[in-house]
Amino acid sequence: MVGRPLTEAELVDRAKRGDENAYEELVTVYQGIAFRTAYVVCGNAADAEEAAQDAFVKAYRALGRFRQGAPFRPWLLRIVANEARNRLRSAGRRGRLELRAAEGASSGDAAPSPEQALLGAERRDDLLRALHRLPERDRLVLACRYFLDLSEEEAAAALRCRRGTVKSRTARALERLRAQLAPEEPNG
Amino acid sequence: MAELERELRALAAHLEWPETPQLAVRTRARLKEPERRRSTPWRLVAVALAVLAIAVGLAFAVPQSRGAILRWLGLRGVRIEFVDRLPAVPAKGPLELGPRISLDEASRRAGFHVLTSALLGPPDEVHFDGAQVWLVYGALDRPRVLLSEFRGRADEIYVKKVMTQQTRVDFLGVFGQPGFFLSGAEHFLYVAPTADIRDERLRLARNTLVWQHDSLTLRLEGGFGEQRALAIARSLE
Repeated sequence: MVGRPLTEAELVDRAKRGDENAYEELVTVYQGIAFRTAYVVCGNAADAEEAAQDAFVKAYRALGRFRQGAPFRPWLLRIVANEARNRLRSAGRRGRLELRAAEGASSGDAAPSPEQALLGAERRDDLLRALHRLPERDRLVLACRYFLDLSEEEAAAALRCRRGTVKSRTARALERLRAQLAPEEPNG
Repeated sequence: MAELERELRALAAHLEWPETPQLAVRTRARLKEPERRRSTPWRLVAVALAVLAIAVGLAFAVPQSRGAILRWLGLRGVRIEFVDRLPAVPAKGPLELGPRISLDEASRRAGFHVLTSALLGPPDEVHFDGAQVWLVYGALDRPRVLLSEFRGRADEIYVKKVMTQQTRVDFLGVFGQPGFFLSGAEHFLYVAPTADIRDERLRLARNTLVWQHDSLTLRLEGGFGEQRALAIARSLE
């Protein structure tokens, strides 16, 4: 008999009771966003992989403290981001997120959405160049919100700040990005 | 602003991300490790410390890091600091190990059973400085082997080691408990019977194994290699 797929809450509940299969399923579901979140913080894949891996193990051992019924993803991403920051700190490195556009088609869906199709290659390169001129803090908040598509709550967890701070920081980062994209005023 | 936000969301799909590693299976394997206790498993600590040590090495390549104390690693009651340059002190300061007493008296005063090694035989001298018991093998002014034992606490530093990147640090387990072996270049040792670490007690040390033995922190210094140091450590009882 094939049962219905378990909900996230059910998987978490089972994992809490020591069901490793259930936890493996959770890891499978969230490994992508966990790794990318760590990558955004660390700025390199090797640290991100280690951080995400350690975070999953830590999260499993901390499940006893997870409040039943709370959303799992922000809780997990907080652990992932902490792990990523700790890894950077202990290694004496500073994160520097380098974003590149993939060659050819989009890296997401097989068929580009109308939105994606609207973003021409030239504009895409302009955006990336402008993003790289932003302070790291701005780039991080924009990456969390628009590239990882994290909610404000999740971004706050990942960046270790309050939701309101995510909001204001995002607004300021967008302003600065817009300024970077604006055509330069000729001098004197 | 909304237009810019839309463009950023669209850009997300064009970004090149490193391939997501398959973490599920590897995580699963690690869940089986018999390390369910609340304290951090030593294996992880060892890995973290090793990463840290490598990072410290790398940090020395960064000019602006130089001159500063870069990182420290610690066992209970022991602190290791990496510095750019060792402080200038006399090459061999005197050993100040406290009054000379008997082995039994040392156990009584220290409040724990002082471990001795069948490999080393009975020590030539035993001293107690108020916090640490010192077993001296050979002459006090030039001991062949020096073993110190103390009840280490996480919040108090009794021994501090200061070294440059020329000193090699190997992390290892002694009977499954954490330890590290310092070798390759001279490093400094501060002995602090009280909380304050005094420079006049600083002196050069040779190859040293520092490790945890249940509630004790042990430190073995001498002109031996790692294997010999480990053999001595394992012979303690």
